[in-house]
Amino acid sequence: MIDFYGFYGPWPYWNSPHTAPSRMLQLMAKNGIEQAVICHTGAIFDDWDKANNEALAAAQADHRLIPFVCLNPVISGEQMVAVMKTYKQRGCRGIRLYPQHHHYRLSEPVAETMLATAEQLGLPVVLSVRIIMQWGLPTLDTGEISAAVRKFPKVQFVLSGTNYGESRWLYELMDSAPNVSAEISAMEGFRAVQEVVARFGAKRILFGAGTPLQYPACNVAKMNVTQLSADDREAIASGNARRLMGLL
Amino acid sequence: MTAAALAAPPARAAQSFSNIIDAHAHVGAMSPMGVRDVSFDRFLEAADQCGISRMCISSIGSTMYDADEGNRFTRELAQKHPDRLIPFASVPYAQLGQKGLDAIERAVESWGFRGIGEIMTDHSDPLDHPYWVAVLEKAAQYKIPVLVHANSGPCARAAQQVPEATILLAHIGTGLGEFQAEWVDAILMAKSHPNVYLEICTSILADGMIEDAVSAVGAGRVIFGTDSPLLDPSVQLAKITSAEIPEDDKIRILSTNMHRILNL
Repeated sequence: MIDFYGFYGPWPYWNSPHTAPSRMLQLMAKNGIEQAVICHTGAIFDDWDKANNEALAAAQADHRLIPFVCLNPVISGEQMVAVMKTYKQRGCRGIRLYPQHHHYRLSEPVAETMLATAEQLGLPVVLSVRIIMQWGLPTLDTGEISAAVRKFPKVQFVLSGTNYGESRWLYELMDSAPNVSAEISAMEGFRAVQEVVARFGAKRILFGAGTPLQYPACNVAKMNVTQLSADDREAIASGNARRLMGLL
Repeated sequence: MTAAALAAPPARAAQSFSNIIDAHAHVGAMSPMGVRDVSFDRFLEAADQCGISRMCISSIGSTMYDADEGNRFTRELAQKHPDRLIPFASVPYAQLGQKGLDAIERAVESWGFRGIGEIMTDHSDPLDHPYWVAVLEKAAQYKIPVLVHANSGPCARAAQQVPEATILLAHIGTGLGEFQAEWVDAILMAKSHPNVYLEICTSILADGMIEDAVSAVGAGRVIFGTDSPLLDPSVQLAKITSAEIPEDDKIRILSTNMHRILNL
């Protein structure tokens, strides 16, 4: 199983007990998670380029970690293209953007350059309504997300941080935008995974747990109560993630 | 995850626990919360899958619309399923005062309700408002618990005003979006207010939340709840079963604490 929405590094909002790499790996093993897609929290809350390079190095050293980078558009578009190409050469498998934390809009020229470059490099892009499920954290405007995924129909977007309050919006967007998938780490509603799979099939849903910031067992439980064929279960647990990241 | 683990039956983690009580569940229309309605049969089926024996229920109608109508609906369901449902009486803010107290009195004295709540407070009508304090006094008078959706500041002040009340702080103090880690503040508050119990259901899955609560107030004041059928009970159960706490503490949280509080 692949946690498509893992993190790496310290957490600034509250004490989180398993953020040390060795403890995170223990937590993954305890919950049957074989690999985690990681984004370094330092890339969101501190020196983004330094933290991204640390994540890339950590993943090179341990195959259980799959590196995504978080981009912060504080450089020119031209510079950003060069940075993204370097990340890709170093093993980066995708991009996470947190405009709500980095104070920009997805419609800005440099953000659109990032999305266009992601398309060119074949990197999936994760956009999160909230970084993890916590009501008090900054949120990304859903209208802004909708506009971005429609403007870049060849980019594979994975939406994250959606709870029951965003489900209608998410469903309408997925209805009209086949380049959108969703990960489950913030879907807390009653049988929410069953509902989204029934509507869109298993191919556009990814297991995510928010390891190590969230209890992984809670998201494993969502999988266990969802009625799925063996093939669909495998697709959600890891196959879809591998396909999006080009790991097949 | 291995194929064997993926094939595990849904409630596997709960099989070693028995007599689980869900201290926070709802019946009636969920659509006022902006979500799809869930049939009562599906609600029961989900509880069964988790190994939950009994659920403390209040109707969404009684918490948000009309006390008597909602409590009457709760009563009807509890009468049909006396071995599974434990009725709690609630009252919306607009009906507080004597009308609300009368509704609670009727539900408890005439209909045999075993608790009060969930009562929904907000920044504009906090738990230490005299109307809500009167509800806490009623709970203390009847020696029954009161489940409150509140933030920790007003809860602390109300708990001090009515120290005889057994206050179950719903969602471990989260849900009003007041700041970034509301449960951290709620745990600290409960530490110094012995009549406050931390009921754990929330969309927030922060690793360490349960361990921190048990460390601060002891497992005897941590309570299992689900908010089903708004939230998925399996997710809330996994917080307890996977927490790094002794098995005896898990039993207290899932079962014995509420048996004690409800005098079952």
